[in-house]
Amino acid sequence: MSNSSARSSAIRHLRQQLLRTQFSGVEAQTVPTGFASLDALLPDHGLSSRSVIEWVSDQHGVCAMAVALRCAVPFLQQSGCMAVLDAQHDFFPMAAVVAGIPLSRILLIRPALEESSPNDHCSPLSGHGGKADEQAVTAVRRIRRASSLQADAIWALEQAARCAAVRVVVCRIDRLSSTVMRRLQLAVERSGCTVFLIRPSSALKQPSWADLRLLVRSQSVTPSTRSVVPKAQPLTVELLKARSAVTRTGRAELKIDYETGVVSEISELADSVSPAPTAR
Amino acid sequence: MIRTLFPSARSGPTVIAVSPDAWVQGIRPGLPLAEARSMARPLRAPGTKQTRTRRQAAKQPEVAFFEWSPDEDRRQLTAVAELTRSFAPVVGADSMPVPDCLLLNITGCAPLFGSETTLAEHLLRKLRLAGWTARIAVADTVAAAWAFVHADGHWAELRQQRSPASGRSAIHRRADWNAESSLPVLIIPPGAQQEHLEPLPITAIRLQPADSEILEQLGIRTIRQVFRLPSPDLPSRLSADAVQRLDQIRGISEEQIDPIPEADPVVAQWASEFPAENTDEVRQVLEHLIEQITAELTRRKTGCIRLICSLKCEGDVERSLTIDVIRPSQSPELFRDVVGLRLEAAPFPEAVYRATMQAVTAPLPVARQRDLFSSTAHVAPVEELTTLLDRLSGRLGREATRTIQTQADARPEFGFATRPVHSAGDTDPQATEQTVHSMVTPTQETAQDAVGLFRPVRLLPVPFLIHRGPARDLMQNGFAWQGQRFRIAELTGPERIQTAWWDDTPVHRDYFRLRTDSDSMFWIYRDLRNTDWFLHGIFD
Repeated sequence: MSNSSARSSAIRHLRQQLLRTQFSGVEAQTVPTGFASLDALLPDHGLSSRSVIEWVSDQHGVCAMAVALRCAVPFLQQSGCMAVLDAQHDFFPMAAVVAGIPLSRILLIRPALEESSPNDHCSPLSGHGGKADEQAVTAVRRIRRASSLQADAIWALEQAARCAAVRVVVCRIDRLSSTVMRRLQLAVERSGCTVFLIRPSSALKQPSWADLRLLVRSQSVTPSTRSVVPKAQPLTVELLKARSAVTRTGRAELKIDYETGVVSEISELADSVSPAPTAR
Repeated sequence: MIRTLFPSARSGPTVIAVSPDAWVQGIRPGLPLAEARSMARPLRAPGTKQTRTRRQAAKQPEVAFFEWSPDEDRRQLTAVAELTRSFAPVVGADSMPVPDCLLLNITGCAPLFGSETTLAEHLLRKLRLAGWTARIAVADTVAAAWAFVHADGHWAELRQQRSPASGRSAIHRRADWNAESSLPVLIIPPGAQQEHLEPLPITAIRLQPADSEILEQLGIRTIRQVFRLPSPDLPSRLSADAVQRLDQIRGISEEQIDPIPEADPVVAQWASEFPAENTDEVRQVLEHLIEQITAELTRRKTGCIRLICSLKCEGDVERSLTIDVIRPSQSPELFRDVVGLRLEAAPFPEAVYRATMQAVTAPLPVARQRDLFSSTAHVAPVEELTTLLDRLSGRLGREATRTIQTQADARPEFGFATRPVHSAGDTDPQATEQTVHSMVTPTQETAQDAVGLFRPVRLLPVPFLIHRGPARDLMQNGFAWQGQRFRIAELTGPERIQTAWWDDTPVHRDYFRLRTDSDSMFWIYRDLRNTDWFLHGIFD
């Protein structure tokens, strides 16, 4: 009897393992960001693999991507690489080094930026004005080329999101259709990858299909904040939306050091303002 | 080159190379032919019969003279290269004007034969069976291996140093040694080539005669002395070629092996009176050629890392298409997929009359058994990433997928370099695969060993001019960028970045971190040669 129960237990265990291998996706994992206040905001108390996360900045120069890069570091403790889709060719790798990401783990994807391609063929517009027609043809070619470059970037993003060897994809992108967003979600569910989309404030007006939407803001530097956070830029990260519909209010307070560029939490103890003296 | 090395060659036939028997008789390279012939055969008075005893014949064997043909030498070297292909994925000739050796990249191949010594022994045996005598040196770099194998006068000494029996092996870590055998094989342990290079003469560095003369005039005769030379002073004293050779022998500069094309390449051709007129038809033609190519690869039991397609189009236009893959493969599906992506991104406008496809072959990687039930190991990161890279480069081109390295340069835009993962001209699958492997492997290194400076995430490829004039005007008026107006709350700096005036693109900049009244941060600089202010980075 015991032999048959042991055998059936082994068969059950093997069946489960076989089923797991048939599903080629990786199980979802929760990865803490390294910032306790930010983890406390998030539904799973960390960022989930197999998810699409939007980091929205309310304006230029508020270090949203720097915070995202810092939160990507724990993902690289497992095997796999970080893919950075740099469609504008302006990614500065030194910032990744400061965030703690070894350059050898970064795959930089840079679709071509050139305006015209020798393979583009476009029949000339009919017309009688020579130079005006040429300019119109050039403009049409530029539009076609720009749209094909955008298509290349989105295609590359999707390919990277589908790859199980890519732990996290970081991409700055302005506009993204819901179709593409849905394809990204399907891709990450299959591969176990996490996609960080760094988006401008205009994205706030668009509906979000991401698993998480986080808003990064820069706090005003005033004499009182300077006494709390000397030599650093204070930042806040708010959770705007979570697909799991479990939302916590509040925001995480972080800072970025002016000298080293390191992102860290604003500690309540170290950075607290001393209490005002009570009146007698 | 020959006339430079052997001045007597200007006036008549000259001896270029000699065998050991001829050397014993006093014949040396550079000797005029007539003189060499007279030394090889003693003169006798006319009418007298030459009598040589057997002892005399043994002491002074007959010397045969052959006319030297560099083309014939190259042809023979190419024939020998075919014998060595099963030992290394990349086989090339050295870059000297008169190559006399083969360079094999055996990185990662030793385990297939057991060890580097066994690999070298098998190779030597194969060459001997084909009628060749050879000498083999194994080192970390091309320059070092060439130096060791050509170190005629020092060969025995180097082997003596490597012998554990001599008692001088404390500095050597491995006992992978064949001193007891008579095989002419020298294997330098990894990382130990510098100390073995030091006693060798400077002729082992492959310098031009003029550069060698300069070094000899300076009293520099050994590589040890060369290592002690200060690098920044060399370009002003030696030719660019010499500086490159010195960097190669020091291991600073990487040297690629220029592969010898295969004698019997894998090629498929198509031609038709009725051309392929659109992209779909061109794709069908290329897929047909891929089927033929992969069938031949399967028959030869080898893989392919590059397909080179030449297409003859209407209007006598020639087009070419190069498809690279990271790992050698025989899979028609992979090549069809990558070709399809390439044609999708860049369709062909002309009709195609003729197509030729050639494969650059490389040994197939060894298949490794995986743990089926492991939760993560069933995903093989290297293979997955290889497939992604093949697809990305198929559609976007080789240049689109890149790795990043830091560079020692103060200029921010040159502080790092990116290199395509499929490096152009790099047909060494081992190096590319190692790059892919390091991308997916977690390391213990902490990445904070670099800069430690606050740097923006975005660096504009071309700095954007925002202001001309003094700083106070900039503070007062602010600046405009991408249709937005920014008012400045704070300007912190300067951080001066300046390069030497004799650099090709000198830089004289004072960088500032700028904070706007809406708490955005930018990185700007003032050009010290004028009053221009530029936006260079955004702290996004």
